Amino acid sequence: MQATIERIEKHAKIIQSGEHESVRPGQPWEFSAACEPGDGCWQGDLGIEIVEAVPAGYVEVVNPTEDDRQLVPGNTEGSKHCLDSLSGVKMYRPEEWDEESLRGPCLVLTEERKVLHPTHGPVTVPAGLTILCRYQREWDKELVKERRTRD
Amino acid sequence: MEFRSGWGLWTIEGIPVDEQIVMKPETQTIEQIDKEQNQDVRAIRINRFGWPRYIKESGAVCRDERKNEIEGTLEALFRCRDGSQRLVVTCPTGRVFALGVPGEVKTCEQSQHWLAGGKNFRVLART
Repeated sequence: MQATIERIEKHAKIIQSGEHESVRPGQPWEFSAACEPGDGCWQGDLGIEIVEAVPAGYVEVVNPTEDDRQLVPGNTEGSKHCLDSLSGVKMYRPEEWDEESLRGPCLVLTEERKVLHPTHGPVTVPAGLTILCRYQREWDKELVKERRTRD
Repeated sequence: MEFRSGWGLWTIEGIPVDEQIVMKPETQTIEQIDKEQNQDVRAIRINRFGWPRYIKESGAVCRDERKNEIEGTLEALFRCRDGSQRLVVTCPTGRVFALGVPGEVKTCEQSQHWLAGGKNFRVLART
């Protein structure tokens, strides 16, 4: 297993140094016009999925503020997945949305928008698409929650 | 935190730990980590020690590995001696993460499915 881990670490160093043939740190990516509902990408631990429509149980964010550009709850650098602007964005959120949610805002775009992050490459979403934010599950957090419930 | 009396307290994220974990986490031994009974402290110990190193030195077993062709990354699923599992992945930022997954997961693909909340969209890219 030592060899496997070492291969993974070596692979990460190649990416870090910019020498990997296809993966570059901070490399931008964009949804093409051919993308359809069910297609998506990950920007770190934020999943961006194209959906047909706003899911049930979502409510519109009326007059969103600058703070609403952040698509992941929290104050860490990792949670700073932010829209470049709110122009042309109709925003919806689950009625209950917090750091334990696995689904986040749903955005109906009438203008092209970018999702930005301090370390991950920006993701461009063309006008006309509806996107749903999804979050990666965290086993460690689930274990902590289970322990707290037991205590 | 240290008081005038000389009494001090070391904590990480509100959990009391010892000085070694805070100041010299790399000097911990696998035995120290594995003997830790407090699960919160154990998690902190390994995070500070470094998951890749812990997996290498603790005798964790590789259950599955693959090249993720879509994301251009490598990943491997390890089972640790206590039965816990980690999916070790490279990230497009050039970092290595060891993500916890439940014990019933057997492959890298199943791990990714679990991490995605059991709802997989067609992943076209990862940045």
